[in-house]
Amino acid sequence: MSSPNNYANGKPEHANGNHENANGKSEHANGNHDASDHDMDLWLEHLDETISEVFTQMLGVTCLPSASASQGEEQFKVVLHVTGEIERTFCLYFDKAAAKAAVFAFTQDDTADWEPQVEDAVGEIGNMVVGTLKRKLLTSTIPSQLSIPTVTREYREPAAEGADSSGREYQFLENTLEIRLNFGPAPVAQEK
Amino acid sequence: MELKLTEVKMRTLIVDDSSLMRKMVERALRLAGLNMDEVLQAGNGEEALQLLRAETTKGTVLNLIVSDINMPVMDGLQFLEQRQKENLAQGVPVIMITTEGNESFVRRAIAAGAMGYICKPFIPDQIKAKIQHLL
Repeated sequence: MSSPNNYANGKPEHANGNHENANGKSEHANGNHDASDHDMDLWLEHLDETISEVFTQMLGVTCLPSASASQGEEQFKVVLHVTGEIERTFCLYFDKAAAKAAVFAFTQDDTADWEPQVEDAVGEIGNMVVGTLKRKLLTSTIPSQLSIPTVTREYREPAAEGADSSGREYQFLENTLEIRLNFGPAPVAQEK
Repeated sequence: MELKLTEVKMRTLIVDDSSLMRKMVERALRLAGLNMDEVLQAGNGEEALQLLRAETTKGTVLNLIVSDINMPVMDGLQFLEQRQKENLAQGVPVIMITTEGNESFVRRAIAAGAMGYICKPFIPDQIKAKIQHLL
């Protein structure tokens, strides 16, 4: 079920009493955070639930938070932008096995040639995850658009957690999916 | 009285830029009990319009259109609006599929002739309920 946290008043506000202070900065009961900390928390709070809905309902598999991230191997990177009054960039990273498993979950056929369909599969998962998050968090009072997903292949090292980037790892069918939320422009792909 | 969907032979147009999603929607419609006699597919609104124009020329009948909203080249809303302008397949029920459920999109879709929408992710029972309601 969706939590009542959203942007219903045009500003991010948590149902647990966290709110923006007079300086326009968000303020938690247990300390002060700036608005982007607060906003990042809000999106990430809904991520587990959204991932679970997308994978269970559309692909018939469970996808749960995990601590194991893929490192230094070729990955399929899906980028989606939410633009408008709220601007966010989402990156989803599927390692090769996860991308293959995503295709098989979509097609329900593990004998098919997976590579021609891989961009379609991971892009559509990205679209559903970010679109569902947007639906849960942004009301019609906040005009915003969701981009078409772009998919690239790249080698990547684990990204550092920072003020403008945060992410989580998930496992489905014993494969790794990592999702990162960025407040700035999408990271530039680095080919090895 | 509940319509027995298996007794109605359906010609359906599914519009989505994802071929996997088109297959998934078709599977969901079959699981929902539709007797899918023929399924036409289009990858965006422009392709869908071309199909509808050809269908109109041939004089064949469509029973249902299911369309995604967020697509490249021509999105689902532009497709519906152009379909209305050209008077193509009028009277054919249209269901929109969207991840966002954005109210302004939905209002625009209804104004352009959509009879309902389903949010992704969905389960086949949601599609069945929507179609039972429409047909």
